[in-house]
Amino acid sequence: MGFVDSHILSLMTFLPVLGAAVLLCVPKGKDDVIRWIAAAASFLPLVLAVKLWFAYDRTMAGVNTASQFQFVEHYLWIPSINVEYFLGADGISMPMLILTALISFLAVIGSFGITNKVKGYMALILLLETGMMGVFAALDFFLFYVFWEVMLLPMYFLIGIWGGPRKEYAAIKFFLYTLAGSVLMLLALLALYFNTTNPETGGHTFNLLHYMAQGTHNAWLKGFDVRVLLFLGLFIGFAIKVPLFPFHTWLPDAHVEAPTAISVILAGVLLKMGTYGLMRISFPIFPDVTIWFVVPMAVLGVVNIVYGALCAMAQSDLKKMVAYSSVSHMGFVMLGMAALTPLGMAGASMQMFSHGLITAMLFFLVGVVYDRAHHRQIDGFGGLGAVVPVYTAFVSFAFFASLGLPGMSGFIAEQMVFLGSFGVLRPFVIVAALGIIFVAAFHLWALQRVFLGPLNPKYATLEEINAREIFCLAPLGILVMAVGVWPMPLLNLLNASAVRLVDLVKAVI
Amino acid sequence: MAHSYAMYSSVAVGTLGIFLAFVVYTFGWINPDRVMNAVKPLHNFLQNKWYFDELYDATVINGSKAFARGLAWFDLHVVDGLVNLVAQLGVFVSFLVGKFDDYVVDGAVNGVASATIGGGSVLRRLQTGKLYHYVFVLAGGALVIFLIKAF
Repeated sequence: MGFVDSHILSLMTFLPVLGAAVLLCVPKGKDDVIRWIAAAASFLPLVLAVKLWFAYDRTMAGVNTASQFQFVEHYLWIPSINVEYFLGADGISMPMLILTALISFLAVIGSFGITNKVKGYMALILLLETGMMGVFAALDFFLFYVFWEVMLLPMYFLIGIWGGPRKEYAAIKFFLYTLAGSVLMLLALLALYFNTTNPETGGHTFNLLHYMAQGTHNAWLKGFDVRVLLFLGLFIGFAIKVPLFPFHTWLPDAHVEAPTAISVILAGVLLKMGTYGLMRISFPIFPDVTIWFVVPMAVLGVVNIVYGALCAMAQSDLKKMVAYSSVSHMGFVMLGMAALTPLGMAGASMQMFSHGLITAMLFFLVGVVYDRAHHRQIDGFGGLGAVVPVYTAFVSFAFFASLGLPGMSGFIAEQMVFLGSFGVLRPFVIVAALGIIFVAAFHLWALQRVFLGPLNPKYATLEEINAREIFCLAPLGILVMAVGVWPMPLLNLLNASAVRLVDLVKAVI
Repeated sequence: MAHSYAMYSSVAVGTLGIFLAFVVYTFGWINPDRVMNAVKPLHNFLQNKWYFDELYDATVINGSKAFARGLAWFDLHVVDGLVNLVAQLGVFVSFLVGKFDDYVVDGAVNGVASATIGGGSVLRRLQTGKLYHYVFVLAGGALVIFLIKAF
């Protein structure tokens, strides 16, 4: 097991794409073989993720200290320009790595119903998993950027080929919008590369940890105007991904047009890359600018919460409503981060994990009804609770989790965000807390219109949720409950790093 | 003590209510329908719980819904409109650049090509293959050089 233990992050990252290569060799027509290979290729990283969970030393903080990262793999990749193959995990990335492994596996299982071009679909979804894992494991900016872009391409095709009626529009919008953000990130990356020196070799470096040691920055990079500009470039790149208002409009289109499992991955994992990027790159490299931007970031967070909830309330398409609920929930992450308190930062991390679980459930559930009724109009149903009680129970559970019912993960995360930011950002927290009313309102209103009231006779024989769908939902539901009732294990996982990150940013005051 | 007043008055009101119910429904001394008709507006008001549900519907609920619809409209037409405008602007600029490329840049390339062809078709007339034409040009050239040298 020596090789597995010493290359666990590499294996988690590249096993899926290896699986993709294998399934490309399967002859045409053997769709079931392809499905099971894909399931295996995404199940192995999940096994490794469980191993990570148990092997991770929760006392080590990571963030800016190379020696405190775990499962580190550090090689020189492209010596001529000092690109390093540098992977490692800390409390910021651990929840995301586990979440990615889980959501990807469930998404593959949830895609067993795809019958059109199965081979291409599964290969792309596995390539996507590689990209996502890589982003969360990389500690070298160049490597991070490569994985960030790797993930873009499969997403484009997955939406563009297997999507809904407006798939071409949604796919190209998603791609171009994200790419526009990536270009800003690329510029910041170049500026950082050419204006820092690796203290060990004296050459330029892409190593994120070196960037965090402010001593490696040259005089130009120490100029505040330059730093604000670079921070903004990175911020817009990440804000598009989160997505923060007003860069969020690709999201409803992409989510609505994408096939169910892809929406699950989009909302469950991809959105977190934005906030993860801010935690991993923007905040520790530019702590001074971060502090300068606290209020604008808090404003954006609150706008996301309230605006997202109100837009969700006005939607007539169930999937679009869920998409806007993501906008709202990611606002909590932003608010918690902006507070720059250990509790707020940990709350933001918790919310990222919790929202990944909850929104994955929501998109799976919307997919279930869409597969049967072939539409998602909230007002087009009515009284479904009498026909499909099990499905109704799952939706109610997911909706209550999403609106932050105590005892479920969303409540813990949102409360931590509120508690962590109340002391420093009081007016914003008050507005955000009022926004929760709208979050609850659109969930309950939708629940009422779809499942309660007189039965719409068109759906009197609607098929109940099946075993495969329950298999996708149950683990998510169990985790939502587990985190909600007993959040300590997850909190311990990310706490040391959250505290360290806040200390690191605050150290410049 | 305020507490005892509260207690006595509530007990009194409760007892009065019970007594009234007996008067109306058991003893039949008062006809409830006549009373109801006598105070019809008040009865309606109470029957409809002070119209609180209607008040909430009209203000908070419909207000929120209308506000939400307004924001969704704003999101779709203004925020996303801006995004699509940028996209259309990109398409338009690329159209112009495309035309520029077609007519100016590629025009220059094709221009060089047609100039070469045109020049060639003009110059090939010199290649007559007749010896006395060449001797004539040779002599003319020599004359020109001689004249240049002379002055």
